[in-house]
Amino acid sequence: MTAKRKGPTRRAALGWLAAGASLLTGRVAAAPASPERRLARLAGSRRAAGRIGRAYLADRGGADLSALMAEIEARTALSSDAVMRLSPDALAARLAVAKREDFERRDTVAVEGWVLSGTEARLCALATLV
Amino acid sequence: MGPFDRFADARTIETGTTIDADVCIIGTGAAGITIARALANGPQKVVMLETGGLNYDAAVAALGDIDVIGRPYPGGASRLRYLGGSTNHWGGQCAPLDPIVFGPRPWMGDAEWPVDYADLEPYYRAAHKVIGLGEYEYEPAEVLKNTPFAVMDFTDGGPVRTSISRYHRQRFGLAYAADLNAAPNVFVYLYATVTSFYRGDTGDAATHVTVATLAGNSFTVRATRFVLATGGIENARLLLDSNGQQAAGFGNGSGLVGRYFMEHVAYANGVVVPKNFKPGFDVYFDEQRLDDPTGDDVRIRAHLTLSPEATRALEVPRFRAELRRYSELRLALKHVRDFNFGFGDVWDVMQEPGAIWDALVNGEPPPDVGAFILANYVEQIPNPASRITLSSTRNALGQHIAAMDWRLTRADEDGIKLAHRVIAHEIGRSDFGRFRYDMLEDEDAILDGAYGGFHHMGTTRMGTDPKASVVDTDCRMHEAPNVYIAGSSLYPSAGWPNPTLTLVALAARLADHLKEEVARDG
Ligand SMILES: Cc1cc2nc3c(=O)[nH]c(=O)nc-3n(C[C@H](O)[C@H](O)[C@H](O)COP(=O)(O)OP(=O)(O)OC[C@H]3O[C@@H](n4cnc5c(N)ncnc54)[C@H](O)[C@@H]3O)c2cc1C
Repeated sequence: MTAKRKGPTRRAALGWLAAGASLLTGRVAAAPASPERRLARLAGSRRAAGRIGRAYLADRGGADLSALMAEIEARTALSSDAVMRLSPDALAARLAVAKREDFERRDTVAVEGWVLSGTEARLCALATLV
Repeated sequence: MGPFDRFADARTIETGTTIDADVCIIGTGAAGITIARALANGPQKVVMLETGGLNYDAAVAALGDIDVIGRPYPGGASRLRYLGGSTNHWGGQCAPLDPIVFGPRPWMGDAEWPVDYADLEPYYRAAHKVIGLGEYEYEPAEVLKNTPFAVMDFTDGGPVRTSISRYHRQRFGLAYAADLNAAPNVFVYLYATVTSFYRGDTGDAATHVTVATLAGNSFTVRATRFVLATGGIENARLLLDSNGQQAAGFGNGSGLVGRYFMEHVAYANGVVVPKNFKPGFDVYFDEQRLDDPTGDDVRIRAHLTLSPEATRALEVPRFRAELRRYSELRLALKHVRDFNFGFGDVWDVMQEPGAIWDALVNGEPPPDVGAFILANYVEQIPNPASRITLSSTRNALGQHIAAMDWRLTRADEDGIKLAHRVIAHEIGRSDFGRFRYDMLEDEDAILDGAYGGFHHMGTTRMGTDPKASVVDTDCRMHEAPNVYIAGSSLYPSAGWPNPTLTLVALAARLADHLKEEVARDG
């Protein structure tokens, strides 16, 4: 689960809480690790990211997982190895920087009128595919 | 009349009468009353001529009908013709123009003022007192300190700022009629509609104005100095209709009277979802009462604006982004459209991973998902083709009513779009939240959706060049040395704030000038 790193008691509590909460909310639950899955978990809840991701893919005209991954890796300067190696917090921090840079570089996409960072939209798309 | 025993009813004055004055003020709105109060109890005889009475009168209101020949405009509804003028129903929203508005802004065309902020600052302070706005303080951190309200944090060197408007619905007639009534040198004539300016046989100076009433009588007011303060449309209309001696109208050799009519162009079309919605953001949605010991019932509201640096770098008009509470129903009605996801989804994907779980573990409820609608009020680019002229229709006194040809151009449309884009982009860049851009790309549709704010500006613009302006830096007509103009018709450009604080400041400045001039020249 992708809780922020806090004290051990917190983390233990988060473990069971997240398991229960994921049943309730549909947030992506633990599954065999892969770079795609690790990134998709950081997109948001499965339901929200899924809705946005599907709308984005419909605009984009199709779903190509490897193309999406390549774009995300290029924009975040993260290799698949790095995605696997970094802690969720460190990964989330890198993604936050990439999203911000997207806005700076005007690498934004309009999904149903929402101005989203390109990386943000691609992460949502990823969440619908893994 | 009524409780004001020294006010005269012009309908009872014998036709053919001539009234003499040192200063004749035409109009008793915010501008006219500000000047009269400043001259009250002084040595000059001040005559005030007001077309209306103490209350609304439909027949008088109809004298101000407008023939809308350009963009649609709720002409009649936009002005009130009785003591106090349109301040009898104004919103009381005020802020000074930013210093950047006064200087050259090549991307805004003919927008430069002949005075700067420093010239006006003492008068802004005076105007604050006249309107009852409390302390002259607009710095958001200062205004909001010790309040429950929160500033939206767009800092981080970015272009977006919070700006403040202050509110006090000063009804100038109600507030100041007693002062005017008590001043032995001020003579107020109600139901007195000025119909024309006249010159003598020699020189450019005005000698008198003619006055008519709906009772059928008419008379003349002769004065050493005149102040035209009848509002942003009527100031131009009256000069144009004073065409008995010069076909183009009084003081209109430049052909500029009535041109450059400007509004604030309002366009509501976007939704913002902040990442961290705070209840203190309420100050952006509605007027909030401010505990200001220097003012009674002062309210404030916050908006988003651009920094002067960003305004210059992006070459955009000044604008304020006003935020309103999101109403699903309202938007659904506006955009009959199915969305595949809602603002809650956008809020969800913005959150730091684990933030919601952290909150739960800490026993805190997840933060509110709030959303608001964004409406920009954009300064119109000065445009000589946007104008007030004379209609062929006449009112009950035989005057040509005003024809309003309000025009927006492609450049205004670009300004509207850019204003939205900058905010949309900055909301994301600063990670404040995300923006849904609901603007249509079709140019006509964008301009169709834009409306004004009942702010009538620019029709007798101020400037140093007589070929490019109607009045000089002292608000004196270039072509009539004893006729002064007061009101938002003076503005070469509009900035984002509502106009009245600035026009009251200019009126206070004009009153000082008149006092100095009279002391010097008699
Ligand atoms: C609904 C509404 C809301 C508004 N809200 C705001 C706001 O929140 N903030 C803001 O800054 N501004 C606001 N305004 C604009 C504000 O009302 C005006 O800027 C302000 O009243 C202008 O003052 P003035 O003295 O120039 O003209 P006016 O207030 O219009 O006064 C002109 C006076 O001249 C008289 N007159 C006209 N023609 C003649 C004639 N021929 N002879 C004799 N007398 C004549 C009229 O009867 C009137 O009394 C609003 C306007 C409206 C309509």
